[in-house]
Amino acid sequence: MLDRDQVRDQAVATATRLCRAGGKPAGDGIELSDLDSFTIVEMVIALEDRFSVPLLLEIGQFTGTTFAELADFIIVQCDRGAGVRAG
Amino acid sequence: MPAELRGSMRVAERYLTQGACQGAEVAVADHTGLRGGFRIGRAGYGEFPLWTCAGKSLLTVCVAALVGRRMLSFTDRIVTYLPELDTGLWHDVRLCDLLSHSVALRHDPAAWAVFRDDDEVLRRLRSAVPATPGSGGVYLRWTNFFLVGQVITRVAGQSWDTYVQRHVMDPLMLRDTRLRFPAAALGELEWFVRSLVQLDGSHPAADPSMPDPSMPDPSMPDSSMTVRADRSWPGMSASGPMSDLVRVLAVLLPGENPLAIPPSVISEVTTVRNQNTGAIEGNPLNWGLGVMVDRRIASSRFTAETFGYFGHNGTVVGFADPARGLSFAVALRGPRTKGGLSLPLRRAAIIHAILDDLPTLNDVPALDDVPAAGSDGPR
Repeated sequence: MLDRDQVRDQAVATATRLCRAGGKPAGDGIELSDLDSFTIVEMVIALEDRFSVPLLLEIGQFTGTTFAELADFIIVQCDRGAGVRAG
Repeated sequence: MPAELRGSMRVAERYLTQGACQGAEVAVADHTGLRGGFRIGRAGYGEFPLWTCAGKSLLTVCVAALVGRRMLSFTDRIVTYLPELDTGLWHDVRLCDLLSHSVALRHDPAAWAVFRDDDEVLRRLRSAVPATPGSGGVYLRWTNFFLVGQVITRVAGQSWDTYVQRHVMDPLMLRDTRLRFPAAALGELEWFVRSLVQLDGSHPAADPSMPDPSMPDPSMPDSSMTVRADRSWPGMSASGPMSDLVRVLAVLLPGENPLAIPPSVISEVTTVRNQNTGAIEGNPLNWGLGVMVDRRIASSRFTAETFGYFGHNGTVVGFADPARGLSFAVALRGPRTKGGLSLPLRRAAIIHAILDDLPTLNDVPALDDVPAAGSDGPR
């Protein structure tokens, strides 16, 4: 079972790294709404790799606006994947 | 289900099932023509014409063809063709400045063409207010391509829409693209223009020389302004399927093209001229001449030379990657969530799925051979 705070921190760290790589300011208080669409897509792709879960395919169900909600979404997708694999 | 693009169709079907969109349309082309695609949707989806970025694509290709025939040069000053605009602001503006969105206006006055005729809009443009000096260009949805359309009209000696139809759309056999805004969707256009008044500062009403379209117009005291149903708007009113849009963009890919645009002209069009202008979905994008030259339109899996457009608040994206020799278009019909997170992600998921589908694209049937959208839910 993934830890929500750890997943959130991983998402924030990924977003921060991508923003800085793109020459954009990214401080401690970075929010999901601060990201442009390109960075969001790159972040989700990176998190797919990090957690080995297909996120883009399921993102139509994501309605959140915060990193914490994104963490919840990732955990649900990981749990579903684990369930499928276990089944 | 056709064998080609099976993965991207599966992604689109999932979004339909989830209710994340009402319809989806995908097309892929190369310089020889359409290579594949699909269109799926819920009941009634097919009745909605898509307001695409076809208008700007068509005018860009038209200008490139005129330059290729030496009827125009990208460095021509526009007052050469529009002498009535030869005021201080417009004196040095070149065609390439319009196409690269390098003109710094405080507002977007040609949006008034929705309500007015061209002559009145040109008169208004004479007194347009420049942006703060040094602020660089801004992305103007209406004015730049309005003026490009006027230049085409003067150069061709016929209305820009007639010329584009005969010299671009007919040779490319774009049977399902229309330059005039669909009458049934005029309300949507009016909503869009009026939403600009409310959502940002680029609306024409912010120009002190213009009346506020949300307020009674002094020149029309007994009626509120209504959208003109009897005209087209260059760069704004064209609509059509993705299968047409990809064929327009494919004209600018390497290889022979039906309009015989020389490679040197295509190179001029697809070279970045104006960096970081026009934030779309929060992305400041790079512009060539009439096209964005920026892989952020698509994703990091495409090359830096990728060019194209966002359209309709990001629900439509059309782009071409010269390195792959392919053009792509994706439309996701559904609620437009301006600034929302999900749309770019859904769009990216389909684009990535298309890339994964590409190895299956050999000998695919034309899109016309693909069954039409189902009428009672996703197929």
